[in-house]
This record gives sequence, C-alpha cells and structure tokens, in this order.
Amino acid sequence: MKYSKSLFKGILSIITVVSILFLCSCGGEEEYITPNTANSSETENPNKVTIYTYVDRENEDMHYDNDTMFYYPLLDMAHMYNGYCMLNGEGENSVTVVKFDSRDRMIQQMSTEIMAGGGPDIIVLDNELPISKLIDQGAFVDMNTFIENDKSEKALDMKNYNQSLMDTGVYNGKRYMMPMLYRPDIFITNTFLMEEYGIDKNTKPTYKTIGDVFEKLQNSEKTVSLLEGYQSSKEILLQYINDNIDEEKLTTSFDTKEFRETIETLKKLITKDMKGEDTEHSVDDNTCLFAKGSFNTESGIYTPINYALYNMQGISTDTFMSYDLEQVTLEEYANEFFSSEEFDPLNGWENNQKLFDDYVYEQERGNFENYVANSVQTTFIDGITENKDISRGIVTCGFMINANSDKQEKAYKFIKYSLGERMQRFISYDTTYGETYNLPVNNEAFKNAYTDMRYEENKVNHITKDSSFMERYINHIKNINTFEVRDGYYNDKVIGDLTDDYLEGKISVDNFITNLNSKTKIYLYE
Amino acid sequence: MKFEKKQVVWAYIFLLPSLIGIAVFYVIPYIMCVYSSFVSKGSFAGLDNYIKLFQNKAFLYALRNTVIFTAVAIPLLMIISFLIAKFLASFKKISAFFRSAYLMPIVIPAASLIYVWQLLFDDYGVVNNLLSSLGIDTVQFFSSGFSMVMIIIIYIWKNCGFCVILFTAGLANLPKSVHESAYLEGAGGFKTTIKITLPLITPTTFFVFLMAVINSFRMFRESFSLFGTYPNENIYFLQNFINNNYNNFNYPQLSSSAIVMSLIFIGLMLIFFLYERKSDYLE
Repeated sequence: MKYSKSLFKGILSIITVVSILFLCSCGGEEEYITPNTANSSETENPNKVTIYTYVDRENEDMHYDNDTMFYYPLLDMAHMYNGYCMLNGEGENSVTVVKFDSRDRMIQQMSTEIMAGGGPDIIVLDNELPISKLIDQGAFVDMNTFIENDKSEKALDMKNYNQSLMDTGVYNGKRYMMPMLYRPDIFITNTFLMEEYGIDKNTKPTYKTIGDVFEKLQNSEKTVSLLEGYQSSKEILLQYINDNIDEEKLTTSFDTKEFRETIETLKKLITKDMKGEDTEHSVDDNTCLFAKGSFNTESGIYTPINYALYNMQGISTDTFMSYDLEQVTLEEYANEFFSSEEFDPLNGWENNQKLFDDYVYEQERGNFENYVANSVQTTFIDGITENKDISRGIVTCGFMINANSDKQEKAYKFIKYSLGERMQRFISYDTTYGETYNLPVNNEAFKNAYTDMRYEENKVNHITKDSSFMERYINHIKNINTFEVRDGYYNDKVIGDLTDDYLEGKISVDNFITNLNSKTKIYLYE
Repeated sequence: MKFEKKQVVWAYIFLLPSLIGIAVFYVIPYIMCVYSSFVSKGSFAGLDNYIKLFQNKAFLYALRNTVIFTAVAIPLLMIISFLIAKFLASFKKISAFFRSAYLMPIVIPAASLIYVWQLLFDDYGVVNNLLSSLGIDTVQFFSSGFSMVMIIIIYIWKNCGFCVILFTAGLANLPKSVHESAYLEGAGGFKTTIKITLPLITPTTFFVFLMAVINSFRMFRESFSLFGTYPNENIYFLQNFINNNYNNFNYPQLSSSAIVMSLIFIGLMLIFFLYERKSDYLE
C-alpha cells in the first residue's frame, strides 16, 4: 500500500514538472521581444508605445519577410526613432516592437486584445488584416484631429506629400491610415521579348490589349512564362480579380464571358512551365515575359546596365569599382600600375587610388562595353489595368493608431517622425534590399530617391544610354495617378486557397467562378 | 450545526470549483456578450446592432442555412436512428455487431474524414470520374447546392451510431406488457410505434435531440475543414459568420449574432422541454 502511494506521488510530481516545463517552453517559442528595441523590462513599461510585427525567423538578421518578399523597415525605424527620443530627452515617447514568429498567432493575440479593449498602440498595414473592415468598426483613430491640433514647429504639413497617395488612408473624410511607402506597378521586360510578342512600350497595356500577347505566349512552343515565379504570376491573377470587384456597389463582374476567358488564359500562362513553387524564370534569359517591378536583390534596379554589371560580377553600381575584380587580376594590374609612370609615391594614397581605378578601367573598358552591348537590353512597361488612363502605385507600408490606445498622442509622434524626410529617406533606401523597390511618400525624400537612381556623368557610353531608361522610369513613377491599398486579407484568406486549387488544376473553371462569386459576395456583405 | 445543514454546506463546497468554472467560462462571458451586443463604438446603441444584423445579407444567408440544416438534419438523424434502433431491437443476434459498427464514424478523426470526402467528391474526384466514364454530367459537389446535402450526409453518418445506441437503450427499457396489451387490442406495428413507443421514450428522445443539437454545432469543424473560412453561400452557417466577424474585429455584430444563435437554440430546447413535460403528464 505504502509502495503504491509513493509511486502515485512520484508519477504526480513528474507530471507536474513536465507540465510546467511544457508551458514555459510554449510561451518561449511563440512570441518574443526584439532584443534591439526592447527588453523585458521595457515591454513591461506601460508608458511605451507598442507595435506588433511578424518576423520571419529564417531571415531575421536581414529583417526580410519571405512571405511578402518585403524588407521590413519597422525594426530599424523603431531603433532610429528611439535614438532620436533619447538624444532629445524624450525617452518616454520611445516605441517597443513586439516580434512574433507566427503571423496567425500575432493576429489572434491582437484580435483578442482589441476585443478586451487593449491591443498594440500602432497597427501596421499588414497583408493579413482586413483593414477596410476594421475601419468600418471604428478600430482606428482619425489622425486629422492630431494634425489639426498640432501647433508645434514640427507639425505635419500635408503639402509635403502626394495628396492622392495620402488619401488612400482617408475613409469618409477621416484619416485612419498614414501611408509610409509605395511601389510602382511596373513590369520590366527586354526589347527582344517586346518585339517577339508585339508589345509597344509606349502603349499602356490593358487586359484587353494584352490578351493577344497572352494568346501568342500561350501558343508559343518556347518555354516562356508570364512572370518569374508562381507567386508573382499568381499576383497577376489576383490583381485581375481585384480589378473586377466594385467595393462601393458590392458587385463583381465574375460572371462575364470576358472574365472567364481572361482567367483561363492567365491560368494557362501561369501554369505554363511552372513545375512547382520553386521554379524561377528570368527576363534575362528570355524565359519569362515580365519581371515584377523594378528590382533585383543583388544588382538594384533592373536597367540594361545593371544586368551587365551584375553578370560581370566585377563591377558593382554605376561606376567602375576595381576592388570587385578578381584578386589575381587586380594584383597583376597593381604590379603594372606600380611600375608605370602614372604612379607617384609622393602623390598621396587617395590620389593614387583614383589613378589606379582609372588605370584598371582603361584596361577593362573593352570587356565591359562589349559585355554591355551584348547583354540583355531591358525596358519597362506599365502594369496591366482595365483602363488605359490608369497608372498605379500600391501602398506597401502604412500605420494606423488603435482606438483603444491610451497613448494615441505618443503613437502619432512616432508616425509624424516616420513621415519626416530623414526617416523616409532612410526607409526607402533600406527597402531597396528587398525584392520590391519601395518609394517614400515624403516629396523631398522622393526627389532624393529618384536622384539616387540617376547615374552621374562618367566615361562609360552605355551608362548614358541607361540614363535615358532611368529618366523614363522616373517620369513614369512621377506620373502615377492612382494609388491603391491592396486587400491582402481578401487575396490571401478569402480566395487564396481557392486560387491555388484552380491554378493547380484541382477544380474546374466553373467551380472556381462559382466559389469566387460566393466567397466574394459573403466577404463584401459581412 | 445539524447534520443535514452540514451536508448541504459540504455539497456546496465540493460544487464550488465547478460553479466557479461555469461562471468564469460560460455565465460571465455570456453576460458580457449580451452587454456588448447593445454597445457600438464604445457607446450604448440600443437595438441598433440587432437591426443592422438583420439588414446584413451575409447574416441572412447564414441564418437561412443554419435553419435549413437544423430543420432537416436533426429530424432526419433522429428518424433514421430510431428506425435503425427499432430494426436492431427486432434482430437481437446481429444487433451487437451493428451497434459497434455504427459507432465507428465517431472515432474517425475529422481530418481523415475530410481527406476521404475530398478524394471522393472533388471536381476531379472518384465520383465525378465515375459519372464521367458513364457519360453522365459531373456534379460540383463542393460549390453547388449539393454541398448542403453533403454536410447533412456527413452529419448523419457521423452521429447516427451514437443516437442508435441511445434509442436502443431507451427501447430496451420499455415494459413489454404495454405493447402486448396493444397487440391484443388489435393495434398494428405502426400504430403501436406512434401511440405507445414514441410517447414512452420521450425522455430518451429529448436526450437524443439535445445531443443532436450539440453535435450540429460541432459540424462547423467538418464544414470549416472541407470548405474553409469562406465557404460557398449554400453552406455558410452562423458559426462561419461569427468566426469571420471575430477575424474582422466586428464585435457588436459578433455578439449580437451569437446572442441570436443562442436564442434560437434555447427556444428549440424550451419547445422540446415543454413537449417532454406534457408527455410525462400523459404518461
């Protein structure tokens, strides 16, 4: 009897210890605080403004979200703002970023907290949140009140921002969302493909005019896909679906013959030669028609010169960088340079370095110019829309203030600082490392961003050619006349799986349209 | 203190943990839910939330489908279970095997069930392939009105066995003498069932009904796994509406729809409870 009692006690103790350990480990895995911006004592500080964010653990060091392919500037922004607060003796205004390694967990926690009258003070425009629905519920604060009441020298002057871009955050006259960054809806392609498929770079493509190109591409025996990968190709289909929804009238045009034909063509193109999600095609080798946007993670903007520069791997940006050449080649050039007359030991290190760069450039010039001349000649066209008069930009980052927050003033201060030229310049530069090239909403920072895109006067003839590309590109983004906030919640949570099923051939086109109609109708009515 | 009083005090002490649990997890949240159904954007809104709710087309779809499901699936489940129980009661030799067999669907995990269902009824699934090979037009089981039929079939298939067991137990406890006298009086099988068996097993029927209603709530799991957060409009239930409003942070709509849903089921229970009391009186 005694033996069984002690056995029972032992088992009970083990179960208790295991349960406690299990509970502790659960908490640690799900959520953690960013070490750069806060520590546990800071998060316990109820006076600090809090922001929740999802961080992809695999790319944490890069602050890069693999799902959205977006280099996330939030952590750096918080770090920079907190530094500013400390320097100005406003430590009480600093912000705390709470990081989650599960997006669903973050949304669930945020939802529960908001329901209980709490939640983070600042909510970030996120793909997983139904922003328009939240605005209808009065979940966010009207920031016009803060703008009007701010009489300080550093008050936000809305004249410093593109009006129609900033108005994407205005609903019924109230400013619920403050955009931070946007990206132009542009495709990069190459002149060979443009000629091959009869695309005129000066004509704005619409779903109607591009239909013939789609047909031609679809029937082509070559292994040419629509975009580089499955996800970016799927976005075209989602965008077309979005363009066929009238959110004001709560109607769709999914039942039309035109819609059906277009999605069938798009499906064929998307699935053409896309064996799996990992399959990647490139404009570079003519295996896909378009490259999304304006970017390349390694080489920066997708201009003809950058293709050449990137592929040569010896030269990095708009100028010739001798230190990027192979070590052996560089050593040979160095020996030659030191024994030449150009080298003067009394000339100083910097001057000699410049002379050495010029020397190496002269030696490599032939190779470089040949390479550029024979390289892929890239060009760009506007994103496809229903109407040819529309040229659009998509808001990629924005902030809202939680209506439950008791630190709304402080939250607004952070947003105001983030809209300032300094922060805007910083984050637009920061985000070029992602796969989407993001532009700042602040006019001065924007000017600076496109000035950075231009190439300085230099010796390489092909760069002058590239300059015209950049001029056209800059003019194009200056002429964007429609700005949109994508409903990522609808695209992902409502019709995401359905679209995948359709593209993977698991359901028929009839089933897809019926379900699409049904799901969209319910989503709009809810 | 008297012994009886002491006993009552001890009974309450032992009941306390359960009462606290029920209060914290059911009663208080329900009261809070009732409260928030009358509040909108932080201020008292009267019946506005309810008026808006009944003007919301998505809610009306959900209400319609939930009513159709409840009105069709629960009676159908009860009738089928009762008939099977009656049949098994007449063949006692094989009833033990069938009783076990009918319980199998309950222990099958929902995920496996959904997988099999998808294999069978997908657009390019087994059934449609079969129809196609026979030259018959294929059916969109997951996106047409057929999806409601499918959910009802799954519900009946999954819960039938349990209800059969309950009815079998109820039938086994009936006094044989009443049936024997009825037969002697010349009553047929159908008349005996309607006039004698059914009134006598009312407590069992009430319990089966209760379980059927509870299990109908649980069907959201299968429906959710099979059709996702936003199913087609034929199988969009109140649970979907509530769940989606939670995701949309629309708490006034969420609370008011939850209250409407609970009132529907409380109403159903009350009707059946009154009927049961009336039957007791008859008995």
